[in-house]
Amino acid sequence: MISDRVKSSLKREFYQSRAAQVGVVLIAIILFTAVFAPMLTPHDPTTQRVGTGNGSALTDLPPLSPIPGHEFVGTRDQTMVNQTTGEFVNVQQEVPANASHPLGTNERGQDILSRIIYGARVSMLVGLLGTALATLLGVPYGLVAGYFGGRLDDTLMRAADVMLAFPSLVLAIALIGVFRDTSFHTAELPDPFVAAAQGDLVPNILIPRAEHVASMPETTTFPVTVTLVVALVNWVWFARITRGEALSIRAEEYVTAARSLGASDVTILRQHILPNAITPIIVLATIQVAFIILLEASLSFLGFSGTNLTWGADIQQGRDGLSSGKWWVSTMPGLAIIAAVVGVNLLGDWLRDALDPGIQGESGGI
Amino acid sequence: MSRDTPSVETAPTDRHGEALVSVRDLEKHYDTGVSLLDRLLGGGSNPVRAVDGVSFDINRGETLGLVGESGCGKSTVGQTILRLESPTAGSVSFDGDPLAERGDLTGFRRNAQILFQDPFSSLDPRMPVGESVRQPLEIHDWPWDGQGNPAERRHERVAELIERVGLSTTQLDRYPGEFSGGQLQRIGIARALALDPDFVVLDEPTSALDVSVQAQVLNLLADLQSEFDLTYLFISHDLGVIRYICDRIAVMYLGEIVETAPAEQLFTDPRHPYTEALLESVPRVDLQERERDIDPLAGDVPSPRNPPSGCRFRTRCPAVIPPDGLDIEQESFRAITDVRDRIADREIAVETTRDALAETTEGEPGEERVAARLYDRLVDVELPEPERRRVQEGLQAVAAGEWDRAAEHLRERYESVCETDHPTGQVSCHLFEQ
Amino acid sequence: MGEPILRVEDLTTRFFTEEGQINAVEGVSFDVEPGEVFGIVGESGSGKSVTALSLVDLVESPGRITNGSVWFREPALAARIREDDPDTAAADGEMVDLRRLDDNERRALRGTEFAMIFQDPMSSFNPSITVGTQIAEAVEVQRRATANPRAVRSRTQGFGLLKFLTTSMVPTVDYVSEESRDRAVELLDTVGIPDPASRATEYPHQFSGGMLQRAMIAQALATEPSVLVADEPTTALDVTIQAQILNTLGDLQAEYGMTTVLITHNLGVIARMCDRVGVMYAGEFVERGSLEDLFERPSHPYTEGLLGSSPALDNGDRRLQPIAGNVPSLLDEEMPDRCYFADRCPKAMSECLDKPPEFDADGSEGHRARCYLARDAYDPGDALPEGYFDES
Repeated sequence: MISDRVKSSLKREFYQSRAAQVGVVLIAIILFTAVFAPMLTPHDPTTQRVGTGNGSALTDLPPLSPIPGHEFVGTRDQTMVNQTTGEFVNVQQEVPANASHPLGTNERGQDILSRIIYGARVSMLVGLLGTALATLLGVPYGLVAGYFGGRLDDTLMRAADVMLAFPSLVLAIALIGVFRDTSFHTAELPDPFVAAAQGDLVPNILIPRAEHVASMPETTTFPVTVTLVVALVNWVWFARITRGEALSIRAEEYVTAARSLGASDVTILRQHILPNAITPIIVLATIQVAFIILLEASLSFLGFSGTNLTWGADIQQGRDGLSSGKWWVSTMPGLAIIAAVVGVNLLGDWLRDALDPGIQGESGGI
Repeated sequence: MSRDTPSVETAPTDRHGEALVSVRDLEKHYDTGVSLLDRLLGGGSNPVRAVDGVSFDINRGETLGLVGESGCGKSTVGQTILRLESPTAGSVSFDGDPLAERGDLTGFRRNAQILFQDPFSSLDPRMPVGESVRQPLEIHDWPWDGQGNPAERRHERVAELIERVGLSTTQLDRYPGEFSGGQLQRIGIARALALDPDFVVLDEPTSALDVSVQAQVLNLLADLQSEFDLTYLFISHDLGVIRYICDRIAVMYLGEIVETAPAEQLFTDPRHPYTEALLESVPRVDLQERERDIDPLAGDVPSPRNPPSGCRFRTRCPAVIPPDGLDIEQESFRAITDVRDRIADREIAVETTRDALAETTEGEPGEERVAARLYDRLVDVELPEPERRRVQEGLQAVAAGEWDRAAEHLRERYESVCETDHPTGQVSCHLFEQ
Repeated sequence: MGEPILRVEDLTTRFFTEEGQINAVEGVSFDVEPGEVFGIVGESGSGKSVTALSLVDLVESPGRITNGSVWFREPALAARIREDDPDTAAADGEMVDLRRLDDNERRALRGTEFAMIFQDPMSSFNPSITVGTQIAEAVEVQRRATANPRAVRSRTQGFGLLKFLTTSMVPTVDYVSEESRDRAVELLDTVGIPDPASRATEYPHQFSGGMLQRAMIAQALATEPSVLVADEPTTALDVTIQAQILNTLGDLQAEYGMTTVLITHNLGVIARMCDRVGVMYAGEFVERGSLEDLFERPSHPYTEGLLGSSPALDNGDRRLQPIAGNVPSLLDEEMPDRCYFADRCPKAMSECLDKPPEFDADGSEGHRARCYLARDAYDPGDALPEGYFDES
């Protein structure tokens, strides 16, 4: 399906456009970190740590362990009392960037950089799988509606338009309400690197920082419901754009020519309509990845995600800190979302410019 | 090129002159612009009568030209014959069999092909041209004799075709965007001929091409016709091209065929006033062209949603037959007919005229004065006195808002056979019926 | 030959696109005499439309006129320019060079002395303003320009927020006077639109293609131009409508003595309308001369080829003589340094590998052809071997 011409066009556009290069680099980095998260994180993203305040480094203690000789008083008061002296010590869980925590920690003392790297997994998985699912739902629907037209088209598209009548966030929350109690609300995906490191499946030499990797979380929580829901909210866009393309391609003479040759509808859809509609679908898909990443972030911000280890949930965590000078807790995952969304959009622009048949092929008349 | 059709080879030359395609009372109406809401409200059903009852035969081995201006329905005829559009009424027989009775059109599709006007849109831009030419072979599972390796045989066949139309096999892997219009049209021809059909509809095949390239393609089509014993339906608006390639010609106007004649006869002795006007309108490539006096047809083609009664050409015809006993110049009769048409369509801006008059004079202008002003605006020829009075009376009724009375008043005196009776025959014009 | 009203010298227009430089018009020269119809004929991509746009200074980016002059006879302006600057290169006798005038002068001239009609009338009208108003606006421009030559700017050139607000909030009614409206109706009548008063109040979509083309001619006439440039004015129309429009143009031509440059691909239209003709191929004039020169004694094989490949109405038996090959590319890098037509020419000789200049040809004084055959007879012994150009 990808011809040499398309390849050369992609290449040319890539070399010419700085924006395309930035997009590709951003997405490459994000995908790389998401895949190799256990090797790249400085800390376990779920471990909570406490320190003695005044900006000093957090001691790397097990979760919620008190400072030796101190009794834990409460998480929110962040004070501990020395059992022998009775002295109160301010402890601090949120610290700004320092050598051990390049982006600081959140109010639970979790390393923000590590959480962002792990958060990329959820964002990218939901973004890509959600888009793939939406494409699989929307494209055939749109093809059928646009190609056969008439009353079938009317009926199918009216039904699809109903989906668009709801604000997507509201619709998503409603759908989550439907699916929340199902057994597949979330799935725990085992981390192959961690499993390998722990089980000594491969020589440790092949896994960088094997000991560190072995101590990382064994599973990643994948929000199945959210993925389904973002696909159900967004497939309509694929249906609409595919239907529009099919409608106009159907009127092209090469389709009439194929019909006059006796080609069946399935052949025409497969050989002519879909290949010619694919460019706008690809472009839409890239943009939808960004949109779905944002939607996922919104849902997890609102607490509907099913997992805490996502960018949206992290922003939510740091929301209170924004007013008390702890700006980094929310800002860092926010920047990650921006990077992902901008990266995907730049990628989409690149594809659109490179695949647009108006730019390649026939030169305009003079 | 070899003819490896497995069907029983009947010596085709014997059957020349027999009708290969017979079209009877073919109609195609389009219900466009009728939305769901209109349908629910039960209104708005005024279809476009693209093709409204045409009949003709195309004989084996001949080229029938179908000529007409844009919107006359000539392309729709071609598409309906090929069942790319289903007809609203009427029948098409191919090789003696009515198509409507064939459940499976596969055999027909194999034998009847089409070549389109726009070579850039008639080939899939994302399909290498070799694949486009191979497509019909694959759809119909060629070769039918089952000998040899099908993929190889198809490859050879495509190469053979592409060379026959004057291109090189090295170009088979390229995409349509890399070819010029003339080359693409050749590829379209190769695809249409891949299954060795009997009948090809050529739908304005050279209209998108430059003259020099057009001549190449026309010559190629003529050569292929004799080589493969093809029957053509050649649809075009270009009379020069039609004359060059066609044996017989049918002239269409507003969904109907107005005249059918052998090519030579049509050009030397056109009968129907429309054919005559059409021929006269074409500028000749000739030094004497500047001196030639052309009296072009007035006005525009009426809407196919609401075609004129009787003869459809009467609203533009320079030879409308006045009723018996009315002795009147054609020009004057034309002017009166135009006024009547406008009254029938209620297309006279009475209020504007009244307001304009009111501005220049005191008080509300009377109907008589409005009618006089309308008369000045609408009639630009000198009418004989009784006719002048009659038309003025009609316009007075219009000024009074009594459109129907005005229409009736003028109809009584000026109704022509051209508006009451629909002409029929080889030359469908009342002038040739007596 | 009398004094020309328009003299084009070495006009060169290029387009600088992403794919490379396109030589749309290359060194085109011709004279147009007052009151004549000068035809430019060529196939698609021959540069004829860009030539038209270059004449009226409407070439848009990425295109640019890179060389040459368009001299226009305007004695008063020429005298004034010379008064300001005796050594000016912008005036020559009674002629002024449109390319060397300053922007204001050029715009004023373009707006009033030149008018252009296009192939597609539908896209030349604003769909949301009545036809009458749009023509009246053109009349108004002319009216104000005559009253005060500098005032043309105020309408066509003004910008700024206030201007934007006034023009967008207050409809154009303000701008157009009642007299201009009356004149617009008169013009519609002149071009043969029935019941012009009520048609003037209609919108472009209510007009048929032929009627709209007439309206565009009326609009072009509004400024009472000296030169009318008509770019394929009848190509989008049916033959019967084309005949109407050509008759109208012919009548107006006779009535107003307007000079017309007519661009078309249709040799029949050329035959019907034109006094003199230039044939374009690959951005160049390959042959120019009177209609008789071209039809009776064509010197350039391309002209011959065009005539031979047009199907004639009066003789259906003749086999067409097509020109082999395809329309050439105008991309600079793909253009060879030889006669551009040589690869399609049935009489290509080894000499043709050098680019031919324009030669005088038999016939009228202005008959010139860019072909060695205009100078020497064809020598088959010197012909290039068959398939010579197939490699490239």
